[in-house]
Amino acid sequence: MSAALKLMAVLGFAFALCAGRGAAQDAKPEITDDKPKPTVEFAKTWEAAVAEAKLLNVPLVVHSHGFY
Amino acid sequence: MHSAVMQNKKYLEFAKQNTVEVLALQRLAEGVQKKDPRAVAYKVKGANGEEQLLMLNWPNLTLEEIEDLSRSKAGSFNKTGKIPYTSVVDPWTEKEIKGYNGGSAKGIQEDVETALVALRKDHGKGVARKDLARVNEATAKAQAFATAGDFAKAIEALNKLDTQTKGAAELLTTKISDARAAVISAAEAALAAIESATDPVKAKKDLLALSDRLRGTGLETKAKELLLKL
Repeated sequence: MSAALKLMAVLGFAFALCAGRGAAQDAKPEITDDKPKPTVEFAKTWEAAVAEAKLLNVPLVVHSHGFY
Repeated sequence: MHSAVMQNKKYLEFAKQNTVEVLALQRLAEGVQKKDPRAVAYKVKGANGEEQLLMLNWPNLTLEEIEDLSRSKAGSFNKTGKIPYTSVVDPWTEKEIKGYNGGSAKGIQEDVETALVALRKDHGKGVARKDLARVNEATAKAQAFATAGDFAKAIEALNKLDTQTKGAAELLTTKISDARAAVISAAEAALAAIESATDPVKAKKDLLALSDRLRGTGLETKAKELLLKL
């Protein structure tokens, strides 16, 4: 692959990444008056989760879900 | 799976004592855009009275936090392409101990208990969550005092914590020491700003105001010496 093609591929990937991020940031959820049900307390970030789990010396439980 | 585990009353109690819970929710923005009824938010007042939007089904997280979590290492454990997927992860190695599609609250609890035995064998007993909460609350309070320039009150809050956590695990006392170092560093910066000020009248006024707020930082003598120079 030529240097120009490589550069175009990298730029294209970066653009797609930015566009995806932008779309996510633009998404505004509908607001409800419903109150949440009691749910487990989630860590705010992965780093915070790891730090807290080390302090408590307990495992992390990662719940993978999605909108598919 | 969501309510069967994450909203299960017994699991909630179990998780408070034995786990750190992490969400890896993919494609939430798509759910929001498609107006999926699960992707709705509710309003709460933040710590400073500001309005905040949290996601109804993951009620302590914002949309942005969920998006960031899904892009973090948390989002890398499910390699099956199927959901729901649950991973029990060792925090010291950040490697999956056990992972499965679906899974019940009871099954997760059993695997967590097995993991706890191994973690305690390798790393000893961790701190209690209530002690950690107390430290987090006090360090946040100290940070707020330091931000407001009241370093004495910040140090006082941390000193109280020293007594309450006497004999606690090193990781916890390190957290308190780090918070104290951050307060002292901010106080040093405030003193340095006065020292380098060009208006001596204003500098003296600022220093007099600051002096009362330095108690406990170890910078009291330096402030007195500076006052004599001005």
